[in-house]
Amino acid sequence: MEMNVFFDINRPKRRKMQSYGREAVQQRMRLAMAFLNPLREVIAEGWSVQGKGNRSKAFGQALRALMQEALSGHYPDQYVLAERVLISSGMLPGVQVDRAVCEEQYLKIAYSGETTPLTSDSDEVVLVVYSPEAGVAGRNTEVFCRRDGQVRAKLPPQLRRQPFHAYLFVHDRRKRMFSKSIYAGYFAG
Amino acid sequence: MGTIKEGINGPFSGKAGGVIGSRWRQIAYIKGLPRRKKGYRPTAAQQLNQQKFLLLGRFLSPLSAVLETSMAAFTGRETGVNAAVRLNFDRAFRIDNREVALDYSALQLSYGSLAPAGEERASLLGQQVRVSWDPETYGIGRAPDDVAYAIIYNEANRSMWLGRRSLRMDGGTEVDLLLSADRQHHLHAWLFFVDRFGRRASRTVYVPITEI
Repeated sequence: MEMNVFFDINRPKRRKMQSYGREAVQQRMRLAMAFLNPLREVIAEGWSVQGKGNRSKAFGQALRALMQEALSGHYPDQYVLAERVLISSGMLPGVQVDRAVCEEQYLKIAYSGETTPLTSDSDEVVLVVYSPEAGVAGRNTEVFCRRDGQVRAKLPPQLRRQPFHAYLFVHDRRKRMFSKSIYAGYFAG
Repeated sequence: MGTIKEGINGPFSGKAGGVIGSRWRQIAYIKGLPRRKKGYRPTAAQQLNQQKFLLLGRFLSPLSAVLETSMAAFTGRETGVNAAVRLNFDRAFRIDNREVALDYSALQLSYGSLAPAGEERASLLGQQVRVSWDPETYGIGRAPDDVAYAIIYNEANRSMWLGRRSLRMDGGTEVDLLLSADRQHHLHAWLFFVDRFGRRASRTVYVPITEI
């Protein structure tokens, strides 16, 4: 009589094939995490309203937005559209980029914006420079306000030799309100 | 004799027949008694892997204390040395016609999201290596009080030195060496940073040494 066994040691266990959809989603998650991870500190601030003050919840919201809005292509050739990534989100009106100049050590951006009841001249403007390939980011360390009309950030040494993305956003002095970040361009470094 | 610790399904510790139960870093293991196969000859691929393990293990074991901090992202369920072996096993070798050698410039002795400094330089002056870097923080991913780890390795006699304790804001550190004047040296330098809490580390940067 043949025994009905659950497990046969002589038959190698076959690895369960992952479904196409599951692998595609896993790749989207990996791409999004790799892109946002070096920007954690900025995102914890910029998405703090959506994260209700919780840093990891803020990062989760930014991750969700990136996966929904800023990923393109079909598996296995999916990629991040840097110009659609939001590193901050909120109700505060942002600014428009008028001119951007990349010098050897600095990136300077001139901007303008409308005056509305929500805006204030003392709103602070933040310029973020970021190279996902190098995993290095920087931001302006001096304070620039909405009324100044221009902002500049010193480039980290790694970004002086390779291309990088730049983002701009605004927050009020108490960091309670943030604007949606805008993509300021891709610079050669 | 083996002792069952947490009920009939729980892990046990000790020897039960040909099986040994043990626990390491809160992971329960069951392993067989060691036995040597007669006439065992490793295949070429096995020999290659054994050589790679040997080279990496020999290089990394003096750094075990440093790696516990620099690989803190992984050290919950493995040692720093194990994590470093895993990180470097597929990328830090030069394989030329069955000759395996470490690719020192590709070695990673740390892992994490902290930003490396940039503009790293190292110069040898007599019995001292001066390692310098950019001390600025640029607002994201770095802090002035990140601790710098500069490691110098002499390939000629396999000796290793760790730099004096210094911070990112210092912009440099010195490493005192003991080099014999009558022998040829082949020095390598690596630099990485760990935050002041010892939780986050940067990637490792290989710094070529210039002789003054």
